[in-house]
Amino acid sequence: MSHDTHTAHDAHAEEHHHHEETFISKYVFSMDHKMIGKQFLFTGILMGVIGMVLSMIFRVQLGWPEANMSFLKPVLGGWINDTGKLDPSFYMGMVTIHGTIMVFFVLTAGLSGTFSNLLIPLQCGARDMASPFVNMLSYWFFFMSSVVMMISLFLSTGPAAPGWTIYPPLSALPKAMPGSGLGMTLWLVSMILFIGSALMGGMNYIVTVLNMRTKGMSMTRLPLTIWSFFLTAVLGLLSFPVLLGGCLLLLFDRSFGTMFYLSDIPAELTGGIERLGGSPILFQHLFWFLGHPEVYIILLPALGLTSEIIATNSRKPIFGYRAMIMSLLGIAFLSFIVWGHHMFVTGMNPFLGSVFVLATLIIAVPSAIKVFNYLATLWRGNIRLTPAMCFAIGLVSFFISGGLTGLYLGNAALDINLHDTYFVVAHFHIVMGTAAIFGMLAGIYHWFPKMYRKRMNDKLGYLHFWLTILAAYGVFFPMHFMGLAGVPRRYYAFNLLEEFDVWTDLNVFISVAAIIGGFAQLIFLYNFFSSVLKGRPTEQNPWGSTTLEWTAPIKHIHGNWEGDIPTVYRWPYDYSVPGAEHDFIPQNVPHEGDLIEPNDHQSYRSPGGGGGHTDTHEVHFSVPNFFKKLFGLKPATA
Amino acid sequence: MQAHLNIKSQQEEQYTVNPKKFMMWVFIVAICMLFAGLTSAYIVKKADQKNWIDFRLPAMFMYTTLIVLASSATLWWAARSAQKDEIGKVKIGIVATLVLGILFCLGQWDGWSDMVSRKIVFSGDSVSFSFVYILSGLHLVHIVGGVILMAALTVKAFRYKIHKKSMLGIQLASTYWHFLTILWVYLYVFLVNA
Ligand code: HEM
Ligand SMILES: [Cu+2]
Repeated sequence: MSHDTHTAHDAHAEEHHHHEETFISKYVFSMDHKMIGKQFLFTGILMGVIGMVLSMIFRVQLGWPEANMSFLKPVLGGWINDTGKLDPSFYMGMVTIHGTIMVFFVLTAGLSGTFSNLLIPLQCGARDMASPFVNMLSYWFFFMSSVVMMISLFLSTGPAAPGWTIYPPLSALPKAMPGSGLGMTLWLVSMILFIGSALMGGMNYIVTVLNMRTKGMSMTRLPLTIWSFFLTAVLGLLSFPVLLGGCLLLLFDRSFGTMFYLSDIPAELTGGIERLGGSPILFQHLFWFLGHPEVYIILLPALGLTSEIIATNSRKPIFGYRAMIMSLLGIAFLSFIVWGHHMFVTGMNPFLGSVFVLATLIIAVPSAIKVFNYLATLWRGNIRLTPAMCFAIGLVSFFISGGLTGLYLGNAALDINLHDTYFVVAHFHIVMGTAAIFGMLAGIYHWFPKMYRKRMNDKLGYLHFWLTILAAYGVFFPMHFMGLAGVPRRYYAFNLLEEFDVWTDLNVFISVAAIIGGFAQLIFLYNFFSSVLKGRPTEQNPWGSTTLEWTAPIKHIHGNWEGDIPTVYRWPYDYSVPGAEHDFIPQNVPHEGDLIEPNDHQSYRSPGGGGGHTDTHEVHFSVPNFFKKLFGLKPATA
Repeated sequence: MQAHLNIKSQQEEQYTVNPKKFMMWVFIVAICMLFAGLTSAYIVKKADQKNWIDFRLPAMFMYTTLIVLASSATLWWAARSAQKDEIGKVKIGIVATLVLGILFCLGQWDGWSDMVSRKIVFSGDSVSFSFVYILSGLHLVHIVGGVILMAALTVKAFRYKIHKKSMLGIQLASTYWHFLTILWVYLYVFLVNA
């Protein structure tokens, strides 16, 4: 509509002349990227709470399968039968919706949506996204998609129930099980809206990063946050359309009588003719072509936030900036050629299988580089353990422990045993679930002052951190052993078969940990909302950061900066520069005042760089130097 | 609400590419992936040979291919005329594109009717039938969007709002439309040979 005419601008347009802003235009149909970011955050938190409550309910079921669950009747109503037992098909529904909510609504939209929106324009030095209008649409598509997904929880036949991967035929035959009916249709409608939202958001992020950076902000001066948001958007742009195609075919199979995915289905299940000759495996290919990149869509933003937080709070340049970018690029590329590792047991050609094994194991290389760089950044840093920093380090810990199990699963020979067991559940919850949640929480603690101009309570933050990390390991670590022993995932109860008796106690332990972890999040919610309302005020740059968002005034204004957008003169990691007045130099500070080589950031990366500054090893830590010192050799001088 | 948008103006001039054009290209990449996914699915499904029936595409699809190529030519001509400020030709070119676009839609419909009359129906005996409908149908959905754009451009042209100094609209629409032409040619060649 008329946003066309406004971009048909004249050069002297006022920068931020304030129109009357109504409640609706400011808080509801906002086109300001900072507000849209908060809308994503709120919706994400709400969905996260729902997903978590679902998980606590089914953990109660798994921990105490014989217990009388009628105390849940007020919440679940008819899904608890008269003897106090949870309905098994509703159990499947809850697991499905939990997975869907967590993967897509919390860790894709909630994470990327919040931080890409908040940080891309601010850290690139742009006044807003490329298209604020499309950006607003992106949020409202997400909102509608969430509403549809929530409605499906209240259907009398229950929500979709074939698992978050919605494999046919359960998802393709409306009569297959109760949740396969309307619940599944709503799932697909919701997902199609969601894909629309993700694509609109992603298009904006890509164009803004590539095209709207401020003067001096070359790609190699971009904070790693922006690099990872950018690559996340690229992954989404390339993979979500394929899922869209897959979902459309599924919709046609369900409702219009096609048989893309249906094979050997007798007539009584289709309500019409018998279906022959489709291929359920075809769906798995289409799904995992999105599905694997999707797990990186979730993880990369969290890694980006972590890079920023770890560098800032170690008061050191991030170790191996270019290596970080290269490994992000490597991961992004490789993530498109490994989807087959989810399908080793579909009877794929063993040669093809080994190609997927190879590609999968190669991903471990860039992942390991990233981990190494995080640790090297921490190494001898001047570490400030803020709550954000704790969560960021927690992420690194999860990334290591979950990545290692990925190597087991990546070997087809092992995966044939481990597939669809609790080992997989442990793997992906640690490496993706908790790691990304930790990244998101770290991001919230770190950028809270930017979002709300207040500080969160640190003490509650530490309490939240310790309870959460202990609970998370408590829940997911034991699952490895269950998986190794062959306990299958997606079972409603483990008390019916004798083989599972040995796991009874462990299941109780896991459930207790899950419940503690769940309640620990109340601390966070309390801290978050009470700080929004009455947290203590913050300075403009509370963490002493170098990136541009902290050069913007505390008060939010449309267009982010009064007057001109800052020009960028340096890379984003000038922490503890020897001889500098402060232990950080913001990106918009020109080089004239510096005491060391004024050309560019290269000097801080080279081993022992800066010639006469050999006494500041914290800053110049590098692998070669580390080993040279280790073996008693002299540090190299540049 | 509009105030937010003014703030961009100061900067916009310095961008190497107009953000809207850039967005259009990125959008096109997304559409490419949709069809790349579906045509790959076609190949994978065909490879297992279960329940796959090859059949002749409707002859009409050949004509619609020519129509959509012609529509790209007229649109190209309209854009070139706009660049030269020849408003009369702009109008003719855009209206011609609009008409050809509508003809394309009717042609596709006719092609489907032809298939139906040969008992090759959407939910028919073979997945190969459904695939042809899906691929041509999803393409048609995008064309319908393009036709709506053309209608909007027609209105603009008759209000003298497309000329040398106001090219953005027609440029965006051209990018999209030419892409759809190429996409259809790809799909046609694919379906004939695959
Ligand atoms: C060294 C890196 C990694 C390797 C080698 C690896 C390998 C694998 C393999 C082979 C599977 C399939 C297991 C099965 O179903 O039998 C799997 C499952 C999974 N992985 Fe990873 N992975 C790695 C890292 C990651 C990362 C970084 C994430 C997310 C951020 C992730 C998320 C997942 C998810 C969500 C699943 C399970 C999906 C499901 O079946 O529900 N993985 N991984
Ligand atoms: Cu994977």
